[in-house]
Amino acid sequence: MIHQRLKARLATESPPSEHLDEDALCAFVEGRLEEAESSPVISHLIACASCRQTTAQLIRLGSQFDPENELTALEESPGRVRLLLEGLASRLAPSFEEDAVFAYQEPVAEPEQGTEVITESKPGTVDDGD
Amino acid sequence: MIDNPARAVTRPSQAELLDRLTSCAAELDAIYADCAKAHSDFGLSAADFRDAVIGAINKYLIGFKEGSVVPSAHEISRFIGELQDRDLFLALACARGNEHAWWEFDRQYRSFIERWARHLVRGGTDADEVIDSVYVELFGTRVSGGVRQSKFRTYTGRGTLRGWLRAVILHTVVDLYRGRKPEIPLEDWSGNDEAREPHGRFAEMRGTEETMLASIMRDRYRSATIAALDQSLAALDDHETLLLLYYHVEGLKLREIARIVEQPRSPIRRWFQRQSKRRETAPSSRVHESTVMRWLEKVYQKVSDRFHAELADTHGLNAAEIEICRSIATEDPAQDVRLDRVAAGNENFNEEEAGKHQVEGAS
Repeated sequence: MIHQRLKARLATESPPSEHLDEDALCAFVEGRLEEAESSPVISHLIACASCRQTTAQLIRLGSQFDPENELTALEESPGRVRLLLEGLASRLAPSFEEDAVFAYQEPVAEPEQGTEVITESKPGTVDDGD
Repeated sequence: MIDNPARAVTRPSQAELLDRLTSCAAELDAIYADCAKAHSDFGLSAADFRDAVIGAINKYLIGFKEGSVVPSAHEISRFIGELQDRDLFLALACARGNEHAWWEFDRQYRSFIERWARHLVRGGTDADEVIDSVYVELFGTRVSGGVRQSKFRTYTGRGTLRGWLRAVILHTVVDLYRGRKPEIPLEDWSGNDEAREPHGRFAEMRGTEETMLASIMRDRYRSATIAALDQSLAALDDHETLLLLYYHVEGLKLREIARIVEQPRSPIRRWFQRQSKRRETAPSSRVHESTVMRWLEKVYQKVSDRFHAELADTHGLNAAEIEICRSIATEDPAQDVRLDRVAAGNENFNEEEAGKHQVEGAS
């Protein structure tokens, strides 16, 4: 019944006309506010279902992401702007690999019978940590 | 409070604030110099950085505090020291449209934004729309007073830029879905539905074995139960109420609540610690589920005590009648809240088990 009465209490209160901005929501969720600063935020969160739901979602989603994996993935995946510019650059000028097509390549000698041929393994796919 | 970092508060005296900020000038200069050294191509002046810090102080140290008193030099110094200065420096430069800053932002945060957007929405097209909307908002398309209103202007450096971006992305997703279907609840657009199932959902109807007489009796005492419970909940401190709301209404799990109070400076954590007779012995230690459970148990105990007193004092009920009311309040089988349990002295709470988790001294 506590759940029911909590909801009933919320229903009788008129929601605040203003909401917490992302800056305040983030500072609260990250626990960076001093107690005096957080007092109006907590009061607001009690009265405002929208902001409370947002903080609850941020807490919930934050627990689903591992910050270390995020950082790893960050280092492994370049930004879209960089990729775009690299793509443009490759169209304007032939890439090193394209040059290599015309480079002299020494014919590969036929392996002798009984000799093991070592081929380079394909790198595995990168887990982005999600 | 939205989009208004330096919201219009009755500022006690900006001159006084600036005067106290002067005593922290060396600290502020050192932070700026450090950031500018790392990113000299961002083109952000010391004055721009200082103005942003003043905006943050106005918002949090004055606007968010009751009484709007000018913060002391010590408070300002601490506040400046806690700022996410590199993040703020980057955000300010991006807000001013610096190309190098945008490159750096894209390098650091693009994949993060993409992963979050794709995690939050199901369809790939929707995720792309969210990502585009976030970038448009961050860049800013509206111009006011000759200044482009970049979303970055609302970032103060109080929290991390990453955390701020999470909130921005989340709001963008909500706006996207609510724009399509006004009544869509926030809970419906993300995966992991199980995670947000409210703990206290009224899923089951009460048992059919109740007799007619018991039903009549219950009806008789139901109104008293509701009134007493409402009074008991209204008497709680805001911190306690928010804890209950997160747990019972928003359906956060104990470990998720533990995350929000993990920071040693978390206001909720500090508030509960202050209520404790036991002093905190390991300020930086983690908060585990058992700690949050103990806090909840204390809140339930407080509700239970007040509930009992209300029924006895205000409604004039005797012990037997109070017991009926207590059973009415706890009859929902899906409820985690057990007033009868806390009334019996927390017998069901396994302190021994909780002790295994090396809980910090917050109980």
